[in-house]
Amino acid sequence: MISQIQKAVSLTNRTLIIGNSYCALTAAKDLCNNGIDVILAVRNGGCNLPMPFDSENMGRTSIEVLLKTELVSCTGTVGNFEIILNRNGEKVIRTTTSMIIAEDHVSKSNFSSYDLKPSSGVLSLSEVADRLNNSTDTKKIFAKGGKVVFLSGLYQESHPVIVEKIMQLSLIMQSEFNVQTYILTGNLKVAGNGLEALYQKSKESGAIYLKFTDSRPDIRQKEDGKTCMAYQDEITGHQFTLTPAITIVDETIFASDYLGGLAEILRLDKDREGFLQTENVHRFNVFTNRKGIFVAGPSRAIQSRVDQNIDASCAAIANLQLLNIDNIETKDTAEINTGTCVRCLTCYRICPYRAIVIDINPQVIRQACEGCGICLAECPRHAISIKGFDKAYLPEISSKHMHRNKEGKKAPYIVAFCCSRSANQAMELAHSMGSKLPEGFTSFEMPCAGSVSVEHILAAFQKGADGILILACHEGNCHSQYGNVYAQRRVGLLKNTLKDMGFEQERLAVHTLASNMGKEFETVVTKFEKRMSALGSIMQIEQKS
Amino acid sequence: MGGGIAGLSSALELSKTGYIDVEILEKSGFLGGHAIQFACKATDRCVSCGACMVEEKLKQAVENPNIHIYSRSRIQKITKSEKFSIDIIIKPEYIDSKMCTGCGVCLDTCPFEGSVIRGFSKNNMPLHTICEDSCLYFKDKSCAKCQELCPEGAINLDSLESCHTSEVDAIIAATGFQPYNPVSKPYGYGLFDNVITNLELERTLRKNSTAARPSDGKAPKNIAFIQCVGSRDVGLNHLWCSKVCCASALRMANLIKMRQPDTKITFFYIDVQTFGKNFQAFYDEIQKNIRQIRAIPGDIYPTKDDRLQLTYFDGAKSQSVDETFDLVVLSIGLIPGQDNPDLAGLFNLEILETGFLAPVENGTSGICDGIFTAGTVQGPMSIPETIANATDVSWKTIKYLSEKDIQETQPDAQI
Repeated sequence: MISQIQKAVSLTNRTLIIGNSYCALTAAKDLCNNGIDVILAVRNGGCNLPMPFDSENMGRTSIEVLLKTELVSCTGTVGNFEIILNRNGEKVIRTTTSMIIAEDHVSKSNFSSYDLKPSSGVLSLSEVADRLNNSTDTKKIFAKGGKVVFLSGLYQESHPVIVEKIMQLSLIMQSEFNVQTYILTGNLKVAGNGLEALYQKSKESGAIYLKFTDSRPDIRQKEDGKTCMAYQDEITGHQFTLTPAITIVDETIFASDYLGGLAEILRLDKDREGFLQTENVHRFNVFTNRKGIFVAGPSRAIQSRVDQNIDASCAAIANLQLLNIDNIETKDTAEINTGTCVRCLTCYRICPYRAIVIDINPQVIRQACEGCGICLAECPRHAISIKGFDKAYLPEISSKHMHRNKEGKKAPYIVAFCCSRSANQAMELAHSMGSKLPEGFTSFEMPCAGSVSVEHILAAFQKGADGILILACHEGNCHSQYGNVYAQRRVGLLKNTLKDMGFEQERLAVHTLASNMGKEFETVVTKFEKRMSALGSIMQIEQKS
Repeated sequence: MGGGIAGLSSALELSKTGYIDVEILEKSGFLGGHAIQFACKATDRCVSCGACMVEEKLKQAVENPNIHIYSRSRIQKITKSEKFSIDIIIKPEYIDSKMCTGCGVCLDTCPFEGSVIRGFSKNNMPLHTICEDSCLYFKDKSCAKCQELCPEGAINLDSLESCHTSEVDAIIAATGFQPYNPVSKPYGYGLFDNVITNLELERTLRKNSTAARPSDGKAPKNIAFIQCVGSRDVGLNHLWCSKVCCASALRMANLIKMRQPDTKITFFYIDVQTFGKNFQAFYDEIQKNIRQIRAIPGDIYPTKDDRLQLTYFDGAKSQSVDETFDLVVLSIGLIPGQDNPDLAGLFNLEILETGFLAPVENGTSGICDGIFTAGTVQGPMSIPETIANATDVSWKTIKYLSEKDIQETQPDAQI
């Protein structure tokens, strides 16, 4: 099936997978078994590929495993990435269609949040899990029996992935080693598959869960390294003390340091915690700001094994879909007029999709451009155009509107520039839900609020608009990530200019909306219209001056 | 099977390969499932609830030439030989989707409330649907006002049921969850107007953008959210966390606080669950605006001034406390769909202890090869999780179709 499509599309069919997380290895196996060649680049240590590989299909595909290998550089674009890797000092060059980043996350023990130092009586969660796998070692820990305390999410919010580990370990200790476990916890994170059932099972096995809301236990480390803790029971109000033989400290999961370097080389957006995917719903599930570069599993968020398995599939299907040319091509991409361009590189810097490369002149890579038009609005030389969008570049205003404005009595003339993905949809929703929009209201659909240039706005004023609205997506929801930020900034600058020119600043406003906010669209526009009515026609100001 | 977010996502993922045709069978007249009714919960910034993604997927699905949608359909017979052969009966729309402009005259003229229902999305055409159960025309033909007054002449109340037979290679069961019905809980749901569910609040916020008391339409000054109604409940043997309600309730509470800043909001909970990225920052912020009490209230009584008195155990004082609220929102759990036992029986799918259906790894586990489950039919999931799950299932379906080696004929999948 895949080979049929391949014939129709002249793409090489090879994927670079970075990382040795469970997700990376699952994706490698899945792609290989389904007709796609894989290069697996692992930075640290070895890797245990999950078997079995489907031998029949493996005849047609290959997997190349590169250990101790780091990414050095990447040029080119989706369908044809030129990749340079460093394998233990040796330079390796490869060409690939796409890339999947699935580097594992790292767990760090929270000793310092509880003011504890690791000792024979104070252990980290991972250490205990490792020792439990080693039976002789386990006996050493639990020989004396006694009490074991788990500290969970008392000073920072925990995560279901960590809580699952704690509950499983507690269950083993209770049932197999006859140890009394206490779990001292803040919010117990059970929002994962089967975790509430595991919690009930763990309680039935005899584990004692002590939940803390406003108070916290007073935990002290004695000279012998063991701890002593005092707390007040939140239901009865009674004071208790605990002196456990072993205290097990929970962990926090962080993004790998390697991701920072990868983000720089590949020019990928990061979130606040260093994962390679912003909190943007348009990036679900495995997409980044660059076409053909996918981020999966523990490189995009904290994930359980189940999540990683799902992400491996998502990356695989996204890879497969690249073979369908319809998914790659954007209809109307940006074009740079080399005659006007002065190579200031503004477009190169700001393109959210990294679709502009510098050859002799800046050039738009057609496959990577999504036609958002941010470059067009920011280009100081007006050297960039997008087909099908030029018509909207200078809004055409009917004589009917002009007439209305000259009279100065009728409804104010309002121009709204609407993002096609959010506000324009919201407007259609408002219409279909029976909302009545003001009489003098006209809207212009734009590919992104970031494509509304200063020229658009001034042209609309020139043609007689009494007020102009820029309707953008909410912060963090822009398909092009920063389009709404550019819109906000431009409006901010222009407002000052308006003030200097003697116009009211309120005549220009920016609002954020989502595609499903029909009612809010009506509210925003109606409120704005009322304000403009109060201000009166913009023509009167011109006449006065 | 099922045109909710899981069904729509799978359909899109499969059709994006460029060589798989998809049919969506939907029981109701509206696509998008529960999630299409949800409100955007962004304050000044997006909170990644994913509600807008449902709208986007719905738009893409109806515009996609490789996706065929059968709304208001029910399955009559399924047989399996080389392929699945599915006989479906499609109830008439009565409103011609090509002629309808969604103007709403039918809804405005209908004398009988509930007979014409308006959908939630402009992408779902026709926007309105006519309910045979309550419409007078279907009772005694005494009223056909909508048909007479429709300016487009798009309504024909005498339209007949039609049949369709699908020949498909694989079936994805994405029939979703059902919301827990809280009438048996001591919170007076169904008795007191101002006790509503979180789903009802979602719909209100989507429609009106602000919260109001159903009894008098006034803005509530004091709202209580009660979490885990029907989830994490040993008494009901509901041993699962519904995963989505902490996020939904706290995001809605935050939104109401922004739009109606004088509202006091109290959040009653067992454990606040982590959701979204950077949860710690969101949670720190929310604690400033929303009072949080770690207790599940015992019961609710109405007061003489049409308010609601709640009793709960205050841990800080170690005693029971009474407090009055204007509006109480119950965060009801996600429970297994009614059809799950039938589906499990029909396709020999594994039914979990919880009553949800197990995921199907490779489509060859049951007696019927080529059956998959997707979305909340497997258990509670948020919108982003459902999209991811449905994508995963699509990949498994593609692998199954490849292995079956049915390139010769046009592969089809049915959702």
